[in-house]
Amino acid sequence: MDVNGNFLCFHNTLKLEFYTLHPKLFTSALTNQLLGLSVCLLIYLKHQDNAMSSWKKASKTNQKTHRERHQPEARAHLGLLEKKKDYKKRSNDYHRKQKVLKILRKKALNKNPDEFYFHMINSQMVGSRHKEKIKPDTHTPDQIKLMETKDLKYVNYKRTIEHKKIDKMQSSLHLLDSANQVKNNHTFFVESTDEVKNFNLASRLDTHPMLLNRKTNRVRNNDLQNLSLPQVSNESLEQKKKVYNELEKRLNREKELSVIQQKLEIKKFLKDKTTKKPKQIKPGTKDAPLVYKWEYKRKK
Amino acid sequence: MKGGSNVVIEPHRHPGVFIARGKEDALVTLNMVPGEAVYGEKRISVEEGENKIEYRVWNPFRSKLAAAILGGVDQIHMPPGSKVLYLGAASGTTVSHVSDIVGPEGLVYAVEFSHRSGRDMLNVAKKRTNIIPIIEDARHPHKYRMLMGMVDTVFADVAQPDQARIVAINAQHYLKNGGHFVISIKANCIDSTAQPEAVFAGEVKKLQAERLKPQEQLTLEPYERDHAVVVGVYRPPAKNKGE
Repeated sequence: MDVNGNFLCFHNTLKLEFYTLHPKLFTSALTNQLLGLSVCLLIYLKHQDNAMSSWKKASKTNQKTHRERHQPEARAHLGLLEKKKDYKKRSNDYHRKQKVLKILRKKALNKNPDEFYFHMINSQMVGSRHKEKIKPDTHTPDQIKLMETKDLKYVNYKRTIEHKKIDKMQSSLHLLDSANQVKNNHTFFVESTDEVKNFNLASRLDTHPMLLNRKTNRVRNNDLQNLSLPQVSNESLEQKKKVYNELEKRLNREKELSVIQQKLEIKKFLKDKTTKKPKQIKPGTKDAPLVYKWEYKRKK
Repeated sequence: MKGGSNVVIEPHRHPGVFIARGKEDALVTLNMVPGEAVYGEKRISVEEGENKIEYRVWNPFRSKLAAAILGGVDQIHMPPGSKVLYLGAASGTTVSHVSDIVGPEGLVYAVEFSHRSGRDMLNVAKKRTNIIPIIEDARHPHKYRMLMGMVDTVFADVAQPDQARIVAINAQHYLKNGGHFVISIKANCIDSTAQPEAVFAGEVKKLQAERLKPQEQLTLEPYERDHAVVVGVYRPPAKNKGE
């Protein structure tokens, strides 16, 4: 039996039950065998106050849980009813802010009007933010020169790599489809004006008129008859497409790098103070550098 | 192979030249010395029936003749078995492809003035018996007359201002009547200030004066800028006036 007057009773079947009795009744209960149990084992728990809390918890399983009420229908127009969870949040927020205000008020009261520290002049408000002022880095002219040549050299280096890769790719990718589309001049020399009038390209080239646009290979009429080509697999065509995509990207990159290189070189030449200032001829664009003209000076 | 083959070899208009399609997209020639690349170019092996056939990729960005072939030139006058005089052979890269085209029955006389690139060409000629390397100035054709016979075609890629004269002298010495010439002209090398079209026209005039009769002219876009290839015939037989 514990302090609250609860006692436990083990049935012979070892099933447990709980009873709450008034301590006065206890003795009579025992003597009168109120519960009518033939075998009852009592456990007295006088000295173990905290023990057996698991029983307490277990007892709650049968308890009814009380939920907070929701907004009654008649007051629905007022919106959702605040629950404790929501109140706690609002309250914590409010108190935190109050604490901050208190500290700030205290600080303002304790302010020293003669106070100075360097951060006051090393920082400033930018927009609504307090930011550090960035001090400019200083370099000697030699250092600047070196850094600029490094930039130029790096661009050159990258461009060379790109150029070599393009060369290697183009050695086995001959742009046959685009070669068919790019215009070039093909002139035939004939002897008389009559020939010019009766000139027929397909018959001159001895090929089928359908093949005239296929510059890369205009097969002769004789060969066309016994030409049989096996099917090309789709995978290989896809592979080809992929490689051409890469080539195109590399070509674009090389173009960009060459523009950057030219622009950096112009900058470098303009820094030269030993010559007369050159005249600008063309403004720079995104794919061409500025064009300057220097005064002609004979070197030898 | 499932769903078609990876590489298909398509015979070209010009005998001895092929185009590889599929995974590859390249102009190729049949390798006369299988298993060996001349200047580090890619090789493509294709199984035809039981035996494997090897082709070598011919880069049109490097070779004017290859660029002309892909540009749609009508004739290159180098059928298998023909004899070709190649002026300006350089390291022998294009020469090796011409030797592939003319085959073991044909002959390529490769003339190069520079010793340095001539040395590379000698190495190419060691492997290919149909190349006769000549390290001599093409302006003086009599100096190599002991090595030469009459040829069917003269190919010139010398990039010199007096290119027309060089071709004419060589034609006079070694080109048979009715033989053909193929010249690659770089406008910059002839006159860097004039318009390319004007330069090409001027060169054609010079050739005509030397009885080298041009038949067609082709610019080499997109592979080269301001380059042209002129193909023609030397001292063609007179036309029968009765016709």
